Amino acid sequence: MNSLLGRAGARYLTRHPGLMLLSVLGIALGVAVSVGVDLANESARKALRLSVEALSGSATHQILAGTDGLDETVYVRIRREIGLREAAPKVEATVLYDDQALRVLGLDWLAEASFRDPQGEAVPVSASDLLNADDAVLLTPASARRLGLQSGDRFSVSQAGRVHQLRLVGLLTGAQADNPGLEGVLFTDIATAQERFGRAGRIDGIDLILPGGQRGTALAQAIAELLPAGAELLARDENYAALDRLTRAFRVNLTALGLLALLVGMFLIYNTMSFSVLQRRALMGSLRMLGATRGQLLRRVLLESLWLGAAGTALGLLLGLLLGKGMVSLVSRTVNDLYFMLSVRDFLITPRPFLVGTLLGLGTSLLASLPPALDAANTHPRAATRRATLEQRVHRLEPRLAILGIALLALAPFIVLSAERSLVAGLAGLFCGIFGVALTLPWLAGRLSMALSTLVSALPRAGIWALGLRGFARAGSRNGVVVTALAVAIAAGIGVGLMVQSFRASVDDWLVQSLRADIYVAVAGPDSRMPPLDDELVRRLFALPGLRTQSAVRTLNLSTPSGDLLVKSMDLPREGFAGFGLDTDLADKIWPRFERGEAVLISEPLAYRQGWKAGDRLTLLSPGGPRQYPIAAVYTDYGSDRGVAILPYRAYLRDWGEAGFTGVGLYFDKSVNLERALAQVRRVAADFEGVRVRSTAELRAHSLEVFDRTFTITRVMQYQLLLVACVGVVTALLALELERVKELAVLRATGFTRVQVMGLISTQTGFLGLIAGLMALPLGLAIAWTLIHVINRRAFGWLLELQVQAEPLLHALGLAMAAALIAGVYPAWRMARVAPAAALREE
Amino acid sequence: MSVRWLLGLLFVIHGLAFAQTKNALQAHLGGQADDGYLRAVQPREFRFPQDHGAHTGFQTEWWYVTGNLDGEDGRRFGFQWTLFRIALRPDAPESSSAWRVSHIWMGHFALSDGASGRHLSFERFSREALGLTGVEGEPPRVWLENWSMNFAAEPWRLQAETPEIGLDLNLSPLGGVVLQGDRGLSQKSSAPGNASYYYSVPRLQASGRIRLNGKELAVSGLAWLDREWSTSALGPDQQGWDWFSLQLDDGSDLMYYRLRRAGGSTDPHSAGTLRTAEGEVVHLGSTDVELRPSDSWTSPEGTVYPVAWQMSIPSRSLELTIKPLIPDQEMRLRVRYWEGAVDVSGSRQGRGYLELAGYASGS
Repeated sequence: MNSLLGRAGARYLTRHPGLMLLSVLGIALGVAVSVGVDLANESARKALRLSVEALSGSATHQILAGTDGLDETVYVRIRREIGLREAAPKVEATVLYDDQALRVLGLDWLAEASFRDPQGEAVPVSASDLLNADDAVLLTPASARRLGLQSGDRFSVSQAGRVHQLRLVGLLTGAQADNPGLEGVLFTDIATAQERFGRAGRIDGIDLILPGGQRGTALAQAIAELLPAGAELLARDENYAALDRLTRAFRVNLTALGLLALLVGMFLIYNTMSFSVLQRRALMGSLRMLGATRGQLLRRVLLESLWLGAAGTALGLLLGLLLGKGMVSLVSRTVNDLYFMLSVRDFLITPRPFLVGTLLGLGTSLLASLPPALDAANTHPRAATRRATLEQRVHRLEPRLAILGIALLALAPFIVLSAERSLVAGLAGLFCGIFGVALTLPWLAGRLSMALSTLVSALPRAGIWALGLRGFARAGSRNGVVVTALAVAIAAGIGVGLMVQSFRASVDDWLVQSLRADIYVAVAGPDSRMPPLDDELVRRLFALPGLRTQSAVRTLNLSTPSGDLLVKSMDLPREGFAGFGLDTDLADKIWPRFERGEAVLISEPLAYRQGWKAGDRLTLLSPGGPRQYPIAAVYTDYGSDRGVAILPYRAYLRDWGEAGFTGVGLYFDKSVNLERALAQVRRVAADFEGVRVRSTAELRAHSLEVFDRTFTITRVMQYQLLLVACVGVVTALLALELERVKELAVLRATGFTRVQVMGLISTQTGFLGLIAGLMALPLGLAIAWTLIHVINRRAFGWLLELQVQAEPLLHALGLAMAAALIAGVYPAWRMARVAPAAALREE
Repeated sequence: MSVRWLLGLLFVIHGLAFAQTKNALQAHLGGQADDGYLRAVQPREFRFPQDHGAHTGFQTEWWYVTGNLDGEDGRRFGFQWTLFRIALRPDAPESSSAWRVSHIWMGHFALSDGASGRHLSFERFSREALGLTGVEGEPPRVWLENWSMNFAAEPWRLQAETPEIGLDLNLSPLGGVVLQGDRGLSQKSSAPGNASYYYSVPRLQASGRIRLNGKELAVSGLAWLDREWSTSALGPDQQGWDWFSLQLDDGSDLMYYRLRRAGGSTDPHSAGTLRTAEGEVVHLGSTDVELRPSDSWTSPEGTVYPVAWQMSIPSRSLELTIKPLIPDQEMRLRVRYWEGAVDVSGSRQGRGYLELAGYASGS
């Protein structure tokens, strides 16, 4: 009996190869998207680890300086006073070579032996060459190949607007040569790095090898006591873990999008399997009569779907690999932009995504085919030939699923709130909600299409439209699932789209509001580690004709008892203070205190992360000891997801005793021509190195460009999701074709032209898209709301406003219909080609 | 003494430069040695304690202390402590960075334990920046991190610490300084300027402590200080050297280095001195001393070192048998050589140090 069942199943599938291929493709795409994004994520993550490891050599610990660097005498004290020899200083910088960012690592080669070069083989040039020349750099052979450089070549890089001529004196040899973590790293002497990149007297970190046990603990203790505020001693794994945590929110969000694609894929599997069962009800009835047990039928259907699932999963893993390769650069770029400069750019394949993808692919296949399998098993031999029974059964099932869905939907908020700040809980709740809605959609789609068809058929001369719609309503169970898949995909698109749009709008509003000056002049480069602007430059800028007022900022990394904090020390005019977007009354009240240097402001993400609020006190470790500043207000700031504190410049001058600005804002009189003023400022700045001049408009455009780049990957994911849904629509329509061959043949026989048949089918598919779109709108809005108020808040600490505009919603609706129509073209064309006589004869 | 002078140069080429080719060595020797450095061309007047300090106009310089020590428990030890100053350039560089330096330093430190047969050797490098290493004061103190020699007052103080071993000795000069070669000008080859300034303090009463295996041990014995600075090069046909510093029980001190040519013959510039207990200094040339290896030790890498010798100086009626305290006293460092404590028997008893360089491939 088993072999008979097997042959029956196989026969069915081979007779409908298109359908089989499409369902395999559906699974494959769902798996591919989630595996792809997972691979890209894991690759970026591994790159992060490799970068950290490679850059620290065999160091067990690292002293990380704040962005401002560390006084080099700390290193000397570790060697001389603590007597720890396994310590090596490094100076880091990022430079551009042909628009590619390279990391510069300035090392003391004499101290590096224990870290990178125990055999003394890494550096193929003489020490005097490396230590004497102020332009000598080394690369790994792989980096040199990629950059098209050869030993002996001279080339130039730029950093902070300055161009540096360098000379590739040699390629690393030995064990270091093949280290992929050193890709894109320019090695040079610490003196060269300090001279070239304005870091004289400063180092960015110290690599250490500490022994284990008590001695190691004692050494760590002694070193920690030497460290100034702002520097910290971290075990290498802690360093990696800290970076890993930083990028986690970003990765989790991507993974969630990948899983959403799989969810859509799951509906496709369900659709395919239930259709195949439906088609074979008569056959199943006969098999039951021949003695096949329910268990046998159940197992048979599950086995079939397992085969399909396996084929789809295998294909999906392959596609996922390609997809991941494509996406990893996008992921890495965002990580580079936002968090940490990865020296590893390769696509690093890890096994985990494949394992997870396999489990997900097979698991969802089985899960999705369980209802149709149960249906097949429960087929009563006699009832099998009557389609109406199934429709009835489906109709009975739909409300039950809908009730389950509503229950899940109701459960979702509780999951979200179960852990107040957990991103994972937020996403789990979101998924629970989406799944809940998805379960109610087939029922809803049925009601909606029924209502619409009644409505349309009541219209006079409804003709072919009414015919199409009635046909659509009749195919209820099938359409319901397709509509659901499409609706979920579209809704996710709406949700993510609205979120990004709201985010962008918020950022733009914030930029407009906070960029109060007309022209900004700042230190080029990662500002908090650059030396401040030349005093002479500041003096000349502030003396420009037509200048109404000016603001100035010093970006700093200061220490708090709970770690480092990005602090902007600001010297602002009253109108610049308005840039914080505080309520007018509040601003009036706070301004005098701020001006006197008696209060600080903190950004929203900082308030969220630390749980601080206005009225609390912020403690900063100044050279004279800890100082407390009352927090006057929390303001909106999208500049950093880690948070910023605004310290009045007067307070910084008083408590730190350091002068100097890393940026100034120039406010001109209304009568001044800004173009001319900009040219004038540029002329002044041209006399100084490493200075960047930007008008407010340029600054805003640049910020939005970075923003858009960050969300490219999100958009890519959005389209992938839609693609999965489209495949679903094609599958469903091809399945419908099988069911309706006879019906269409009758229509053709009674005089319908091919064009009319195509119109009929297009009406149906367009309608399907319309319903999916309509249902996607509220769901999409709900997703957007959750993404903004739960996910984004938890991931980044930003408070955004949901900004709903008609355009993206109409866009989504149009997209849904277009997707359905395009997906319907091929099935419609095929159906229209059916030769009536042949089709009828086959029956 | 030429040994360390060669070592210093070799270090620049090999130890740090990591280049394994003799060509690089030749290029280096042919090129840089002339560029603005002072050279030892004629005898000079030595002044102490100033001359214990640095002579920065010359390319290389070293402070070199070896000695044989007896522990309070009767165990025998040998130690070597050396700091090398190596100029990267003759001028002081102009730079905003303190790391852009004209000098780098190398240190070697080793302890031979006669009881256990163990020989531990360590090296370190540093650039002369930020007080990590250098010479300062008058009388001077010379240091590389926590390895230091202080000439400030007698007894001088020698210190070296590593996680594994430590050394802290007071050194009192017995007898005076011996100027090697012609009034301190030690000619290395026939080329003018291919010479160094070289003096020794051959007999230092040492007492203090060593740390080994986490235990402190009081020790005392005799040590030897060698000082040399130069800007010169090894001749292309000179392959290595065997250097002896022996403190004999009649109160005399003997130093002799044999420069080996490719093929193993003795270079005529090999030289030495014998200072008698009365303070008379006798200069020795290559024809005055006869050397025969009597035993060898093979390193794990297969390098064969002649670690035991028969030395004859017929003019002084000396017939000495020289045997290592332990066979394996190889310095397994970037620059590889054998340097170890030896016992002397024969017509005199005594102890000393032996250095064998140019045997290991790439050394």
